[in-house]
Amino acid sequence: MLSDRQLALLLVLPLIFLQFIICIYPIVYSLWLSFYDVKLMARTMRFVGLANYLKLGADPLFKHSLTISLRFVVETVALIVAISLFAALIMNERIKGKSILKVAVIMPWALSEFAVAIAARFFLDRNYGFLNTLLKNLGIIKEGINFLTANYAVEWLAIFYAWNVAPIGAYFILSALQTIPEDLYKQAKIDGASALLRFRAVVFPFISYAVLITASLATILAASSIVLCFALTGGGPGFASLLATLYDFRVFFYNQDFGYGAAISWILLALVMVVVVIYFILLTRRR
Amino acid sequence: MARRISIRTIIVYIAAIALIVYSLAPIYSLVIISLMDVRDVVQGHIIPVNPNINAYLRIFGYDVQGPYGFLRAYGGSKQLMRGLYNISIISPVVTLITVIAAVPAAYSLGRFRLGRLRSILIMLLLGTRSLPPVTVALPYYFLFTQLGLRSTLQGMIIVHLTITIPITTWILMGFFGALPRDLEKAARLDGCSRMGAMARVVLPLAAPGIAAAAIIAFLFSWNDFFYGWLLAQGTQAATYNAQLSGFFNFQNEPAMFAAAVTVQMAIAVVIVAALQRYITELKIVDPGTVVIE
Repeated sequence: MLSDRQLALLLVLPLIFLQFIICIYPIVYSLWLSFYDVKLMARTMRFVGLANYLKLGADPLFKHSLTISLRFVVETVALIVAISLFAALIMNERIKGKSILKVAVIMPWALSEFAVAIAARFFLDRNYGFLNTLLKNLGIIKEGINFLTANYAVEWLAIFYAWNVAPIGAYFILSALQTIPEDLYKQAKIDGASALLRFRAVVFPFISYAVLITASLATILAASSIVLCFALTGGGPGFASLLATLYDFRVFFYNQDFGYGAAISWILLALVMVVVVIYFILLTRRR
Repeated sequence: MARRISIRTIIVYIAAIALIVYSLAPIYSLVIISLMDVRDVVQGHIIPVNPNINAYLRIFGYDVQGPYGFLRAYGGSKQLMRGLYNISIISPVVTLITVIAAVPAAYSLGRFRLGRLRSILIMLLLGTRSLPPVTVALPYYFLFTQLGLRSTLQGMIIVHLTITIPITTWILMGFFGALPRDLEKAARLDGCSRMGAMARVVLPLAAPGIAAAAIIAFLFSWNDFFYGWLLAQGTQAATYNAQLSGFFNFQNEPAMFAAAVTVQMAIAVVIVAALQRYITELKIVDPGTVVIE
């Protein structure tokens, strides 16, 4: 007869083991590759030690893409938390047609990142895009606006990424909102607590965990995101919206500089892992 | 009193309508483009003019007579349909295997006393899910080329599983942890084994959560662009999404591009709309407030 602990391990270890191998292989392979200079045409590999990592420091495009990524992630996470919180609070109200609202809110989440990029392209198109047409019909503008400029392309990426991901956060927060006992809320109201105080003292303790989960998922997803940028702006105009992930992809598959690409991968991996550990500590911190 | 309530209600309704418009506007704009002839599209319309389904017929391989003349079928129609066939096999298989693998693991992590080990296991799951796809792209590409998996559906299924299993395990773990324990205890007192109690008492209670996890797994697989494009583009195993990248060379055919994206989107949208209530079933409560016993 197995003890509970043994049974638990039996159930979970095969999966962890498999997952570990599947993920360890590419990580170790990348690490190994990052110490080499790979010439695909000549079919040679030369050990260069840390040269690829030293090259990173002198690569202005890499530094630029990192700042673009940071801007994208911060904006995206802020938007996702704000929108999902707002949508959850509205969905938690007693209103007619609530099921229509709930279905409408979850819709953007059903789209693939690629479909979001293409929908955004048509939505923002300078000549016949929906947004420009609408603004023209309302008489606000006469000429079509080019939205995806060097200054604001990153913001549009963040807006559409948040549009895509926020619904699942809204559902997470909604499910937490529904666990708040009605009495607690009523009592606070009777005691004369203001709306703001009620939110801080009654609502927030119940949803803080769901908000944190939403923020951590949003951060991890945004930091990994590549398809939206690839298919909506292509990193442009110029390099204005070039995310670090897309830059890494280009180094791999356009420049075919595998060693250098692997070094960039490792830096990205390390940065994401730092974020994961921080969130993990926040999520498991016990009072 | 009644007046004050009604003002608040009005604000809530305005916010609700704004939310609906915000959520649906980009989808609406994509769909109306798919329903118009290119000559109408370039005029810019917010309500479709001469609406028709020619673009859909063309991507499915039919020549059509449009409002402004004859239109030839999409040249890549055969590959596109092959992609649709491939993903229609890949996604259900991925969903099934994900559920079979994730449920016991999530049950174990969510309901047994594992102490520090639990934290480490969760960390491993979260960590592996967090690898940016681009950082594993090249190693996977080489590995799959060497193993001859690049042009096979099995290869695609394996790649999707590496993402879906950890994410669904993680989500289900919280769900299992939050289920009431009394029934399970009672079943065990009545002589059920731990596994028996799991099968007879816990699983039926967990069915909505498992359904939600299945939707998430299916959607990931169905919506994947990156891996399909990277590993299977140009092969027999190319997925529908990977084939969509072919439209980048058809910039002057917005209706067909929009139609092809709409077909992919429509199936996901229908599934999510139909099963949306299960997603609310996912109880994202703080596992720290749940006593593991």
